[in-house]
Amino acid sequence: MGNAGTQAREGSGGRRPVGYFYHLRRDDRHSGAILVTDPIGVPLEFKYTEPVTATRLHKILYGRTLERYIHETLIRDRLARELQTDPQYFITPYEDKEFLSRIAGREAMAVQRLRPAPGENGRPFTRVRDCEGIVELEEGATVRLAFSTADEALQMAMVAWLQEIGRTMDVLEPLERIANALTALCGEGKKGLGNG
Amino acid sequence: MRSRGFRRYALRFVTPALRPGRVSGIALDPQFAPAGSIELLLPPQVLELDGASGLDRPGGAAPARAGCGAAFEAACSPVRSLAPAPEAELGTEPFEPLPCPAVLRIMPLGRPGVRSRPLMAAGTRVRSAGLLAPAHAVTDGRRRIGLLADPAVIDRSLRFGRMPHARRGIDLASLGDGDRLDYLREAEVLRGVPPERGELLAVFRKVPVELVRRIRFLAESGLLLYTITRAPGLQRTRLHDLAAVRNRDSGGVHLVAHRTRYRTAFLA
Repeated sequence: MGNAGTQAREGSGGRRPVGYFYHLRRDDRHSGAILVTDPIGVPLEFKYTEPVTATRLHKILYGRTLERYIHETLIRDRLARELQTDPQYFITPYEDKEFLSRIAGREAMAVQRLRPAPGENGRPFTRVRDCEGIVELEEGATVRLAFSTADEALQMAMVAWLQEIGRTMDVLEPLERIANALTALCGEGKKGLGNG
Repeated sequence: MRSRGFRRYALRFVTPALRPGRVSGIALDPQFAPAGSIELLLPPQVLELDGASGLDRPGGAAPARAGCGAAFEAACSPVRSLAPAPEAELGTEPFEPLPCPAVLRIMPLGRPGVRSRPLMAAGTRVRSAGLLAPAHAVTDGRRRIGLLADPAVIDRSLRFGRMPHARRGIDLASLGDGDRLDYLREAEVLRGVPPERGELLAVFRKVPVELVRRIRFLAESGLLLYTITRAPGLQRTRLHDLAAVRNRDSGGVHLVAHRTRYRTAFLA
C-alpha cells in the first residue's frame, strides 16, 4: 500500500466483475451459489439453488457419478444458465478442484490461502504442476490455485488477473460470505443474510 | 406319443383330437407338474393352458397318465383317461374338482422359449399363460422415485448485498516499528489517543471506507465486519488502511482510517 503521492490507479485492467462459485455440502444436502462482485468485493449478482437432497436410492442409482452429477450438472451448469453478468474468471474453493471446468464460458480457478513460512521470499508465481501453481499476492498473502485450463498463456493471464484484483480486495473473503449465506438459506443457521 | 411342444409344460390335453370348442379334459404330466404348480385363479370362464401350440395337431392327444387328469375329469366330463396311473406314482396331490368352466393357470416351470397361443373352446376360452403371464407393471423411475432433477435457482442479489464483509487483519509481526508508530499517530490526530497510550490491535488493508455503511471490530476474533452501501454509478473509490487502536486509559477501541495510506480502485 503506497502513500497518497505514490498511489496507483488500480483496477484499470480488472474492471470486469469477479465470479465466485461455491458448492455447499451438508450431509446429503447440496446447494450451490454463484456470486459476482465488483473489483472491491461488492456483490453485483448472487444466485443460489434450492437444496438438492440425495436419497439412498439416488446413491445406488447414480453410484460414483452422484457427486459429480450434482456438482456439475445440477448446480454449476444450472446456475451458469441463469447468470446475467459477465465475470472475467471464476474463483472456487480449492477443495473443488477436481470439478474445475469453465463456468458460463469463463475459465475458473480453485484457490486456497496458504500460510508461507516465516522469512520465505516467495516468487510472484511458482508452478507446481501443469495446472497448479502458487501465487503471491500483496502483503505477503500467498494462495495456491489450480486452473481449469492447461493453456499456459491463459494461466499466466489468470495469475495476473488474480494479482490485480488482490490489490483491491481480499480474493477469498467472498467465498466465506457465500458459505455463510448458503448455510443461512438452507435453514441451518439464522445468521448471515439477516445481518446488516 | 408325446408332443415335443408339450414336453415343457405340465398340462396336456387328454382328448384324442382337441380342437377349438372341444376341450374336454386335461391331464398333467407328473414329470413337469410338481404339486402346487396348478392354481385355481379367477372365476371367469377362461381356461388357460400352456403348451397349446400342439393342440392343432390332428390326433395330437398325448398319452397322459391319469391321476391329475382323472381328478379334473370329474369336473370336465367327458374326459377319457387314456392311461390311468396310480396317484402315488404321479407324485402329485389330487386336485380339487374344478368348476367347469373355470380359470386354470399353469405356472411356468422354468423352461423358457416356449410358445403358446390362445384357443377358444366351447364355453371356455383357452389362453396362454405361464411365460406369457400378464407383465408386471413398469414403473417410471424418474417420476416415481424422483431422479435428481434441476433445482430451482433463486436470485438474492439485493439481499446478499446487505451481508457483512468479514475481514481479517494482516499479521502485525510483519509491520515495522515505523509503520506501527504511523498508525498510532493517525489515531492521535483523528481520535485523540496519545501514541504512548494507544495499542495497535489490528490493521486491515483495502477497506472501502467511503462506501461503508456499518462497521464493527470484534476484538476477540480480530474480525472486521462491515456492510457496504451500493452506489450505482460510482466510478472509483478509495481503499484505505484501517487500524484498530485501543486506548489503554479508557479501554475503548477506535477504528482509524489512515489518511494517506490508500489506493484508488476504479469500479467502472
